[in-house]
Amino acid sequence: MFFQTYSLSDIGKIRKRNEDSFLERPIKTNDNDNAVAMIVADGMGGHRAGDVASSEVIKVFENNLNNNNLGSVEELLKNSILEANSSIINMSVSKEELKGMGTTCTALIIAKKKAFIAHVGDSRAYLIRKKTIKQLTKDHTVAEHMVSFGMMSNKEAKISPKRNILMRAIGINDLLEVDTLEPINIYPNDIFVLCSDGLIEYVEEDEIKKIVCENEPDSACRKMIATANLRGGKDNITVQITKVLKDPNAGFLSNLKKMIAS
Amino acid sequence: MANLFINVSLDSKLIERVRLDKEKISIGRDSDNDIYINNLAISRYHARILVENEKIFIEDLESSNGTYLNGKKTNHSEINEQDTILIGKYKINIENKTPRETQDSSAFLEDSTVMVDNDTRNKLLEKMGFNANATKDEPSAKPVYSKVKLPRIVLSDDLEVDIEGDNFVIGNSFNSNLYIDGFLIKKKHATILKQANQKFTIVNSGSFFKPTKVNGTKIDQKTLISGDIIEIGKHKLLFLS
Repeated sequence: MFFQTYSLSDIGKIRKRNEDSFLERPIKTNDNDNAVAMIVADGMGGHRAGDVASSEVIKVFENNLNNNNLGSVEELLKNSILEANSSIINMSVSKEELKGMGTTCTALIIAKKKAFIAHVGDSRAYLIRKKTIKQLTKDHTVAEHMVSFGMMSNKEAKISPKRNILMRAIGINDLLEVDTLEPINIYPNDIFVLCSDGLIEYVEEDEIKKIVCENEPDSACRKMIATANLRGGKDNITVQITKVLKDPNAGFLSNLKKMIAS
Repeated sequence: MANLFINVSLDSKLIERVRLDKEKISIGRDSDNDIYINNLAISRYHARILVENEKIFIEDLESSNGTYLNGKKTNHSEINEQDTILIGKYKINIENKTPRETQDSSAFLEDSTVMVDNDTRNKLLEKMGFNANATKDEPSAKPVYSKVKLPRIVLSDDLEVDIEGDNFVIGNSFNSNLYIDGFLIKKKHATILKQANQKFTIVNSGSFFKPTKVNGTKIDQKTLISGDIIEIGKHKLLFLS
């Protein structure tokens, strides 16, 4: 499998520092195929400690990806998030200035022709396939929770102050429920977009689709961040794009070439 | 005055922006106000903003919970762009937009953020049950529910009740801790009991025809977990701890 990836993080217009962290990392699987890990973590709270929490998630993932032969991707994702949860709780208990810190995490690993996603919090993953965009993750916010029980409409949730209050975050509670999505079969030209809520606050789903479809990943990331900043940029903004490419070694034409060559 | 706006925000989020284009702008819970805020902490006709001789004033209309200018209660004061008015949990300020800015950002008006001075904000956050110190250096820091006063019941977008005391009674009586009405709702329909280990148990005392449900299932007694939905008749109550 081949991928084209790009990640970009921006401090925004208001915040004094960037508490978002991300990871973009190619992985070699044991059958020598390409795989890739893309992760967004949006840190928060504590006394200047949001970035400590978000970078801890990334550190745990990096470490686990180094020492893993990608046996079960779902377990790797879930266990890494749980490990980061304990680690962040331990850190905040031991240091007063780290008390109360937490982070979201949305992690995507594409391997074995499947996309695996695990997440906690309100950073999102989208899939753009054949010019349609679909939100894959469900925000763990009070507003979204109320929507799912019919206490609020989707429209109300978009402007409710409760859209910014998390039901779950990494580093807050020993008992953490991680959402692991059903693995998705991937096809050439599928595009995955991961982002922190600094983007969602300002850029609509359809705009994301349009920008991503009409631009190369690097300029699409830049354009989306510029749009969010132009409209206020009150939070840090992180965007990651993963495009699944056609395998140059597959298909009729290359098989024909191989035949002729032999 | 053409480029003056009144911004209303809640939790550092701008929720309404009204152009200050007349001499009187009324604010209150009644829907015929110019700025209508549907929240029980706001009086029906709470306050108004007046323009006299190119000066802007805030006037409290003998509201129950008062109008605060930069943290101090006020009846009638001149205000300018630097001032922050607090009505209930809602923050109001005046913004002057230059003609160019107005043109450029007109499409994104609802997206801008308003900053407040630290003291007002901390008071505001404390009022809302947030720990002000935890978010002191970041006006827009995102609260996780652990930082909000807990436990609580959320009834709707703008109605929340703290669960106080060891016996929190829900029912069709003004003496209950949470008043709900409706057909066959008892005076004491359900009780949330505080246990020794910081856990909460809900006990049903409603009738067979109108039982208390948690997450869609009838219960006699159940330990509540954060995120549980308590259903009594048409009412849905979100429990957060």
